[in-house]
Amino acid sequence: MTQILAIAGTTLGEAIRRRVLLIILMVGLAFIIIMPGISELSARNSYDVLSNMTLGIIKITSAILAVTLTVYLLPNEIERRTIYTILSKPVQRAQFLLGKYLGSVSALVVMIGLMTIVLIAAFAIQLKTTDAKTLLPLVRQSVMLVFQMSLLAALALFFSTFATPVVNFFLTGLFFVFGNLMNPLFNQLGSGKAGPVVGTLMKAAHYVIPNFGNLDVQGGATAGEAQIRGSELVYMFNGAIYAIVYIGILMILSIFLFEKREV
Amino acid sequence: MKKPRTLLLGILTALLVAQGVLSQRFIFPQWKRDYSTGNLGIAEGLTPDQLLASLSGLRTLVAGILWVKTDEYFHNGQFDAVVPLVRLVTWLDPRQEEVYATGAWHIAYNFTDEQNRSDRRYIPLALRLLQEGVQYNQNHYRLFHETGWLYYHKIDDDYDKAVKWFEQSVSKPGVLKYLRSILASAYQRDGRIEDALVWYAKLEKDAADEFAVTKDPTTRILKDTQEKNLNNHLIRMTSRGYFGKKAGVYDKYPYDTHNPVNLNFTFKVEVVDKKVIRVTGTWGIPTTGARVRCVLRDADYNLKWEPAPGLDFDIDRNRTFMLDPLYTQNGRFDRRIDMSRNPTMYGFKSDEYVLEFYFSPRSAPPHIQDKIGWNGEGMTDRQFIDDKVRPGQRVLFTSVKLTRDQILRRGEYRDGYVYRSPGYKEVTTLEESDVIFRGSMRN
Repeated sequence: MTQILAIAGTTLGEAIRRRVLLIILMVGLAFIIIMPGISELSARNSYDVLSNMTLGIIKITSAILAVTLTVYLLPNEIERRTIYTILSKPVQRAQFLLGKYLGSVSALVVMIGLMTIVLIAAFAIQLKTTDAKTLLPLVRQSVMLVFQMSLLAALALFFSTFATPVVNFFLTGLFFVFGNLMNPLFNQLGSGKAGPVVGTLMKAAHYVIPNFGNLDVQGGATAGEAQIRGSELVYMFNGAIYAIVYIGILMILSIFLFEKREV
Repeated sequence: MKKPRTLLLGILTALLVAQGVLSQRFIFPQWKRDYSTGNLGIAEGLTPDQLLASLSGLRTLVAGILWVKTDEYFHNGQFDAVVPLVRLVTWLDPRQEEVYATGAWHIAYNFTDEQNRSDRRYIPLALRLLQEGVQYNQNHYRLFHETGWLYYHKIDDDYDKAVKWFEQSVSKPGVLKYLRSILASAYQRDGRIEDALVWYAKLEKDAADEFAVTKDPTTRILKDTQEKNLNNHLIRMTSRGYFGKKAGVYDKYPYDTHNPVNLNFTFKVEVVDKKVIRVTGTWGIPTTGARVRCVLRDADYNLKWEPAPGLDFDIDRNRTFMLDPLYTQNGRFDRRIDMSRNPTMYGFKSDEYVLEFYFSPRSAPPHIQDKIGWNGEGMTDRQFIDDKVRPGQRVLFTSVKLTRDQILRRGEYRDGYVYRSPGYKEVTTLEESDVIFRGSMRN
């Protein structure tokens, strides 16, 4: 465990020191600050429009962060040959992988957390309120975003055990898009309306492919809990558990592949 | 390594099963109920970048951008561009009640002709949009209220449906207090006078209870308003003879609805130009406030407000339906209805048309209802009182048949066409400066 935490700490420090990440973070922050101007354009429904847009921007920024952080994690270590130094010490490959992943996730948590704080401050100033009812939905979405992006990072790390960074980037992006569409696709095609073959394929895909849509509460977050018939907290809890379970699957698969890989 | 590997394989299998069960059994059912858009969220009309964004789980972001665009189009007066965008936004993010509410209002109210008459053929579409919104936002009062309001205010008929929607609206948590009184008004228009009384009494009690706890000025105002509403209703029920009838003493006492006002409704329809008609007439309601509904429609086109199942978001442009609530003053009305400048609204493709005049006591303002009652018991007419078109009410209703040639002034009607109802007396034209002679019907 000590080894894992040490590697995680180093990875977090390195991630924060990387200028490219800071630039992306600045872009995200700048967007959030600019966004309140949108309320001038959309007098009607300005809260919903604002929250949709700002949360959307945080999501884009976080997704880019998650992918760029993890896609180069292993290739950089191998290219710079630092991996040999680490693995020559009493550190197992699985520990190295877990440490790297936890470091990336910690960096994501820090960055999403920062963006959320700025977002809430911007909303509080723009709407002149500190009412928890208004601001809490934004926190909820950000919490789920942490799980969603952790899953995305795990996926990118999994691909990085056998694919080059460019291939990894596109594979992860493809799975992210498809994973976001899983529920609506399954809803429409899973019943076999488009034929039994498509129906079966859809069911299989819905079962196997990481479902990023399960972790998206933005519709409910922006529209208010009153419109959600079930408990949003239960939904979020189930989603969080789902993300942890799926991250576990991806990490085990990554360990298997990384154990066999020649470095 | 073999032992940990087997252990890891075991854990992997267990996790695979667990994620499947979690996703299929617990998350998906709730997603379907609370977060589903009902479709893929991919709609024609999105630009490639918007489509990509919506596919990447950024539906609500794209919806927000499109909604800002919609607002811009609306304020620029580009109304035709608004409806498709509203559809896109609701497809992408069906939790946006404001979009449904504004979209339906826009569809129902803003497609107007040159004389600001709205195109009523759009009303079923507006209702369809609202009903779709209600499906996705079951727990909130807003769209239930908006649907009720469309029946109550725009359709201004079918009050039983307004009641149905308002009843659901007031049963939802978080409904604004000041919106709850509308249900009592809807009950009255639906002829459910005692239900209105019960509701007013409940609102008054709720407000009094709240004031007893909070003692704040806002609650005090609400309490006073509810008290006033309740008292007004009781006074109206009394003076209009409602209680008298129930007690079997209606004929014994001088209630306001006695000595029915003779409407003596007469009218003239004149085709003054191609697709331009002038309707003039007289009736026995001397005060302002009540309007006579004038409808010109295809003879075989009885527009149903309730949207048909599977209705798409377009109207039958071959059909003509014009509705003008005629303003009356000093016992007469005079309106030139110009349909020549809006061919898409008034295509006049059919051969036969019906022109109807309709007045229901239920939609009359209280100061007129004080005389004619809720059900028209205080009004009479030699020719046009009808108790069949609206069961339980005595309404004013009459219709005249017109042909396409008459409206288009073709063939033998080249010089125009005039129809006068029996007993019609020529009226002097209404002038803006006309003084309102009588403000009350009590005397």
